[in-house]
Order: sequence, then C-alpha cells, then structure tokens
Amino acid sequence: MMIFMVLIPVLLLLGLVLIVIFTKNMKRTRLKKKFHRNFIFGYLLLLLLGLVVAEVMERKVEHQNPPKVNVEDVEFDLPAAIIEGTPIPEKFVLAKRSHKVKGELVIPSFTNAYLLIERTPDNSHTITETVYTPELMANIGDENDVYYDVTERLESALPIWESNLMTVPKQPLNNIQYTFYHDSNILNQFTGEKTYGYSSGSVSRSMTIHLIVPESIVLKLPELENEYGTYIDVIE
Amino acid sequence: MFTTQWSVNELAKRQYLFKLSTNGAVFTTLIVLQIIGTIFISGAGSTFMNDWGEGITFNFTSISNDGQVGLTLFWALIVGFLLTSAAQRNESFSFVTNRLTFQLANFYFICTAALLGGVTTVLLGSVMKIVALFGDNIIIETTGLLTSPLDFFSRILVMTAYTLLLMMIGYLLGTLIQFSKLFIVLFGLIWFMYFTFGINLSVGEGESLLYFYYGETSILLFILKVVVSVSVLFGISFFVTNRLEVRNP
Repeated sequence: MMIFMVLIPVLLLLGLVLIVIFTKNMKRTRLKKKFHRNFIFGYLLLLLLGLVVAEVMERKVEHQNPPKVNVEDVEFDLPAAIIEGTPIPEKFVLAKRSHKVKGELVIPSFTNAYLLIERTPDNSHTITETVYTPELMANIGDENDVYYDVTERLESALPIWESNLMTVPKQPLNNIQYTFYHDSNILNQFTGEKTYGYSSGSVSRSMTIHLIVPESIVLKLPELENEYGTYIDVIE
Repeated sequence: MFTTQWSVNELAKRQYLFKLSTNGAVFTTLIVLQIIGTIFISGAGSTFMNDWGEGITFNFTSISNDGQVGLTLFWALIVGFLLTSAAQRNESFSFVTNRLTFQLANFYFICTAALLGGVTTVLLGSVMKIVALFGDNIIIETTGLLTSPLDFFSRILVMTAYTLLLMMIGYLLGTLIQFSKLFIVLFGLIWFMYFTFGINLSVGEGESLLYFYYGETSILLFILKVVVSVSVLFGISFFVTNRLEVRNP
C-alpha cells in the first residue's frame, strides 16, 4: 500500500513531465498544424481499416470457438452415473467394445485413467468395455457460470487387449493452448460481456474405463491405489 | 460601437477552433502514447498455465485493450490539468474575450478530446483483436461492430464519458492549484490520508465513488450521472477561475 502511495504520484508526475516536454518539443520543432491534422486523420483511417480487418478475420475464425457449457453440465458425475445406471450423454462415450476372455483377466498398473469394474453373476466369457472420454472444461473468469468445453482437443489412447491381458497405455500429453481476447471491462459496462479473464477455473477428468466382467472370470489387478488415490474400483 | 457584434457562443466557438489548431500536439501525444502502448502491450498478453499432473496442461493467453484504456485515461487527466496552465490562459488574450468564452472554449476542447480518446481507444480494441487472432485457438469474448452495433457504440459512449470525467477532474485540480498553491499541500494530504488511514470517498453503504459510475447498469442513469458530475466540476472550475487575477503567472 505504501509503495502505491509513493509510486502513483511519482508516475503521475513523470507522465506529466513527459507529456509537457513532448508537447512543448512538438511546438518548438514547429511542426505544421497540417502535420497534426493529417496525423490524426491518418491514424483514424488506420484504426477504421483495423476495424474492418478485425471484423472480416473474426468471421473467418469464429467457428473455432470451443462450445460453451453451463455449470450443471460441468458437474456431471460420470462414475456415479455409471454405478447408479443413470443415462450418460453419448458425447462422453469414446469406444464401446466387447472381448472374449477365458479364465482370468490380467490388468497391469497404469496411470492417467480410472477403471470401474462391475461384476455380473453370469458365466459367459464376454467382457463389455465402455471407454469414456477424458474431459476438460475451462472457465476463463471466476464469476462466470459458463465453461468452455475443450474436451475435443484432448487426445487419448484406448486400452490394448491381448488375449486375457488389458493394458492401459501411457496417455499422450495434452498441452492445450488458447488465446483469449476480451475488451476492457470498463468498456463493457452496458454490454453484459464483463469478464474476469485473469484467473481461470477448470474441471478435468481423466479417461474412464467401465468394464462389465462376469463372475466366472478371475481378476488379477494391481494395487488399487496410487499417488493420486484409488484408480480402480470394483463393484461387486 | 462596433461594426460587428459577436455572440458569446460565436466567440467561444472561434476560441475553440483556435485552441484546436494550436493544440494539435495534445492529440498527437495521445496517438503516440496509444501506438507505443499497443506495440508494448500487444506482445505481452498475460499467460496462465494449469497443470493437473494428469498429462493435461491448459494454457491461455489473455489479450485485452486494458492498457490502452489506462493510458488514455492517464492522458485525459494530464491534458485536463495542462489546460489550466498559465500559458493556455494567456493564449486567450489574443482574442477579445472574457472568462465565460474562455471556459466555454476549454469545455468544447475537452469534449472534443474526450470524444477522440473514446473513439480511438475502442477502435484500438480491433487492432488488439487482430493481434489475438494470430494466436493459437482464439476465443473472442467481445462482439464486433457488425455482430452487435449497439454494444460497439455503447463502448465508445462509456469510454468518452470516463475520459471526459477524468479530464474535468484534471481541469478542476489544475484550476484549484492555479488559484492557490496551498491546494498542492491539501491534495498531498488527502492522498496520504487515503493510503494511511484508508479514508475512502463513498456514495453509499460500502460503495466507493468509482462504483457510483462503474456499478450503474442503466445507460440513461449513467449519462445523467456523468452530465451532472461534469456540470458540477465545470461549475466549480468556472467559479474559481472567475476569481483569478488577469494574467496570473
């Protein structure tokens, strides 16, 4: 606070001195009045040209904006929906496959995915696998209930099945970059476009694998917990 | 007896045109400030990074015209202050004039400068938008002129209004200091008390003076507030200037 108390008047004085020197020097160098007029009109013309270019460019890249989702969609609890059997939007489904496995199913340890195993009391040897997309919702601005769904930009690697072995490969690194433009909040006082774009809140979910495994198949699972917590849940 | 009888408005208008032609450097300064600001700010968007340790990293670069808005408001405050300088006042003696026409000419000049500041700052937003459009995966939160013309013009109105307010505040501060140098001490004291004891100008329960304007959601009420404030500031300046000595150094 004390820094501002000193810094702001110093900056104001410095600005004042600079502007006075600049203005006086301009007068002293006897720039013709016509120069100032032409400079101002030239600048305005340039800005108008900038406006036209921005309008045209904006229309061309508009479709690239990620879709917006409301906060209630962001808070969709996928594991709970799987367990309770409530409807899951199709957009979350990355792959739906079935595999014939005899005897036992071996799953080595893995990272960056969550596995939910549901046991069924039948003696078939078919495992049903549903893979749900990882998810990333970005809220650029902390007072905004609208999130940007950038899930489509996430890359994921599906589990690999070889006979009675299911391997979850190392997930590709997802480094997502966005450039966010917004006019100053002070200008948007009456447009309803006030943003607080200096902080971000995000919701992410790693890839979820749901396996329906008959009880006749013996499970050979790694440790159910890793450094991030439980990453395999078995529903009996 | 004179062969030509000039009205107050005609005199003020002539003085205003004279001011416009002699103070071209003031506008050129704004443009230079905005250009320098844009060059420096456009390459320095704020970058934020989120890493959850799950192989997902989300980075976004935030670009806006906040910097240009700040620079324009800063320029407005200083130009308002400079208009009360002795040189500016003495310049008016080139005309057969009085305090009223001098003040009116200054007011017209301030309005013109505010309009130019408002229009150029909003238009500069388009330049910043172009810079952003060259970035990765652009998200644009601000509607353009064709998408929402009313919003675009409301931005110009708001920026002009704030520039006008800041100019009038600078003008009043300059006038008071011209009236008595003791005001420098007083302003310094207010500044010190503001930061030391947190004394704040408020217009209601927990609402700062800034919120009085910024928190307004009705455009008509906002215009009314600005018009009233500008009239009050101008009125005080006029009253104080009337009490100044002629050719006060």
